[in-house]
Amino acid sequence: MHHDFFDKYKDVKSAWSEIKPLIRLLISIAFVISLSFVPMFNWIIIWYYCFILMFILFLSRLPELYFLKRTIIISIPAFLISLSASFLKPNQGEWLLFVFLKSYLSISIMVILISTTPFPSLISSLERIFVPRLIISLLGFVYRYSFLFIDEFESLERTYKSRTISKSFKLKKSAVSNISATLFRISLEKSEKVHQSMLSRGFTGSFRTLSHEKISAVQISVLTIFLILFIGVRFIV
Amino acid sequence: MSEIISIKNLSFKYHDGSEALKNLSLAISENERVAFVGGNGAGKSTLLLHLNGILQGEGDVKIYGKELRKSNLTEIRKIVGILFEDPDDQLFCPTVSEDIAFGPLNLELSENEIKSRVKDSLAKVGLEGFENRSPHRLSYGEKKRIALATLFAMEPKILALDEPTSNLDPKSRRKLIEILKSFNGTVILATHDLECVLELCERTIVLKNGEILKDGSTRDILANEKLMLDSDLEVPVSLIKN
Repeated sequence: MHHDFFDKYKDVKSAWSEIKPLIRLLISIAFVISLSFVPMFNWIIIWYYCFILMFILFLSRLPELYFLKRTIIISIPAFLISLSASFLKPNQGEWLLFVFLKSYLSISIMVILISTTPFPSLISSLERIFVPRLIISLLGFVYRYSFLFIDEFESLERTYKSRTISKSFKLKKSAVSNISATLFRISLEKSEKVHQSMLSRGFTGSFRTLSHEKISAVQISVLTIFLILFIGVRFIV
Repeated sequence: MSEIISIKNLSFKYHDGSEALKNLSLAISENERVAFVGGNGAGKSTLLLHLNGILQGEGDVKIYGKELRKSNLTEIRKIVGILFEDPDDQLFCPTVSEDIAFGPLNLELSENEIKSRVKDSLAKVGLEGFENRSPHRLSYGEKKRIALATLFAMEPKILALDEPTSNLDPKSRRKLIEILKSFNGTVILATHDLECVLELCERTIVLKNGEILKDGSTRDILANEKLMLDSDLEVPVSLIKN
């Protein structure tokens, strides 16, 4: 399996990667929450958050081009929603820019977090902040099996291409629908097998996990510094 | 040797009505190594899945004298570990250590015990240090060994293995066979790899259309050309006389 679309830069050594995944997750969540409370048209605070984001991006050593590509693609739906809502506002342009910038910054911090944190650590960090165990397990399955289904898709696509000479759009359309149907069948079979394998190892319906390692005082201090950065600005500006 | 698996008049039909097992009876003793062989659709995998109650057909299945019932499934699943043919069915957690710990966690063992079982199981399959690896980044051979480690962590007395050597390169296949040889307990294989059967099992049961065609010594059965052809198999190369 040669896909790496979740945590592509998880092995890059940086100041950001020295921070424990749980603390990184908490910093990111705090960033998004505090950003959502920024009063409308308070440009100074928004630029301040832009500066913090750039600082975190610098710490993470995430390639700028990769970061821009990812954030722009993901923020397209956010832009479209803001655009449609802006028609109802009196100062359309400014409102659109402000709201879009807020959502773009939130998306950006999450892109940095996901790209630089090993996905399994991210899942276990979510567990530590009391996200329901069922959601955690679903995320785990999605992570584990998305790679498998992409492989299956690629292999089905190869077999289709190896038997197709015509470039007819109609034929392509029917091939895609056939591949989708096959993937659906495979996923059903897979889910049944996985469930059987869970049962055979004593699964009775409730998910259990091991406890996690403790967070050091240094890591807590890092979190505190970031929290001060996020909250403190409200008292200064 | 005492009888630890006893199956009497077992029949099983899938939802589509196809009869996978027909009135099948057999007994397996402690520390015996038995192979179920037969062509595709003979009922080998279906029979394996009956050994720890994943499938429950009509008839009696007893493991260590305990009748297979809903009330004692957990107890029986502690005893019988099933290895599925595709390791991707067995490794469903984001990391190897979580996958291996899954069974022991369900047994409600202490945290220290679970951690030590994860470590020991990885050592048994020769993959120490793989705790934090993601299963999707492993080779097929490594996945098979980790899948086996997930069973070892349960400390089963019986290993039921569905096509354990399928799709493995010779080196990984050899490694897996050596691991199975070192297992101290009862081993049941459902496989087409007859060379592996020759090496691992002293007894072979030939299945065809859900029925037992022949039960006996591995060498005698696998060398019987007519029987092999009748059961959609062939005599292993190592038994063909020049």
